[in-house]
Amino acid sequence: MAPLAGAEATPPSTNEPRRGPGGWTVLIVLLLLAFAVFLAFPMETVSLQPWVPALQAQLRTVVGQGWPYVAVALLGAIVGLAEIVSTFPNYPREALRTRWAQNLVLVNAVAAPLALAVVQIYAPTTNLILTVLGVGIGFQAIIRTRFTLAKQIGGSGEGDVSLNLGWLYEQFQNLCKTQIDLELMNGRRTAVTRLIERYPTLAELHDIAEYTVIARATLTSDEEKAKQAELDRLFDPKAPANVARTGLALMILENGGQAYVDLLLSQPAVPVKSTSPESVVKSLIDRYSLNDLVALALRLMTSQQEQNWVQQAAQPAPGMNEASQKAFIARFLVERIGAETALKAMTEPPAE
Amino acid sequence: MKIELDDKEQKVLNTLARSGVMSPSQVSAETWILPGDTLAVIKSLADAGLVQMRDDDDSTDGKLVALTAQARDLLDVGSKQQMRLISKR
Repeated sequence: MAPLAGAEATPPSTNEPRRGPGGWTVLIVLLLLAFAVFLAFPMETVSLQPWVPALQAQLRTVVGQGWPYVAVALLGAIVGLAEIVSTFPNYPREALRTRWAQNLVLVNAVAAPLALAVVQIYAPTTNLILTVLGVGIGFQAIIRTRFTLAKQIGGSGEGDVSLNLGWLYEQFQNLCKTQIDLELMNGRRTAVTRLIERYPTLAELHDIAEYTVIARATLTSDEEKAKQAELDRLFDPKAPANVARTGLALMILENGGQAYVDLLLSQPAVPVKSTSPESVVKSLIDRYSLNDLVALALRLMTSQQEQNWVQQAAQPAPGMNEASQKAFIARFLVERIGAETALKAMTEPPAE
Repeated sequence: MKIELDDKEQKVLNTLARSGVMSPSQVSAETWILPGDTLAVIKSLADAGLVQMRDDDDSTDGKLVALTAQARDLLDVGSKQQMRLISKR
């Protein structure tokens, strides 16, 4: 698996059992349910220690007064999540896993209740539910409001003493986004490098990249065409091979996502066998002259049609040199009789 | 839009559409088109913007050929009979 650098949700390899995100969610939901049951259950009718109903009454009061702040904090956190997802649309899950994304969500969850407190001070009589919704969703606008603490008498406003929390919040937001981007960049670099190590040939990378475009169900026709045009640009003959490889690997990551890259990397690498068609074709090219290769092909291929093809392929043709002719004939031979038969024929002397 | 393709060009495009990126020798072995003709066809298709051929050290003949977006578009649309690839007779 290719972990994203800085993505802390990716667990290190350890033998100790760890609770996954699903486990934590279930635990939190169970605790919340238990808390809700405790608050709702009529303790007064049951004979219990006297401190239990007293605690319940106190908690009910706290919850009654505190729910708007909790609700607004949740809405603020959701706004933070949405901001990160919209800023990093290609890597939403990976972005949310970074430490700085968690910081931003946390700050949102804290800033929103503060904004609610300010609104309640300025407008204590407004409808509470509407205020909670308005502040939860639009608290950033409230934060950006300049709160004037002292106004200059008769001045133009430049001498006023004011609190500009919005500037501070924006700086923090920008810092978080930059740090998330840097963490993601590290992760992307790691994933791209590992993809190229695992799939070193341009042909493999191109085929996988093309698959990630075709297989995506949510792409519109125009988006698919744009991505195919990008694929052509990356495969451009003028682009150096290493640039093309990196570009194709990055395209696979962006289109397929980190999970798909992890899946690709988890596939066991198939060792290149000496009997693979590529290896046998290379051996034939290296070992035989054009005339010898033609003779071998004519000996191994019995069909008249195949023999005619080989003889014609060995004739001089514009744009072809001997090395090219050998490559074409060797490939044709391996495709027709199979790599293993060709390899066997190379190692065994011809029958008399 | 009409693009006129001869039999060999159609054969090469269909082979690439079916098999993905290939070396010219693989195209030749698959289609039975002779080596010189294969390179000429690929060059003609590249000039028409339907394929790209680039150098590749991993390929036994040092080259790779791939369909372009334009060719994929033509082949897909052609299969839906909204556009026709007309063979030269």
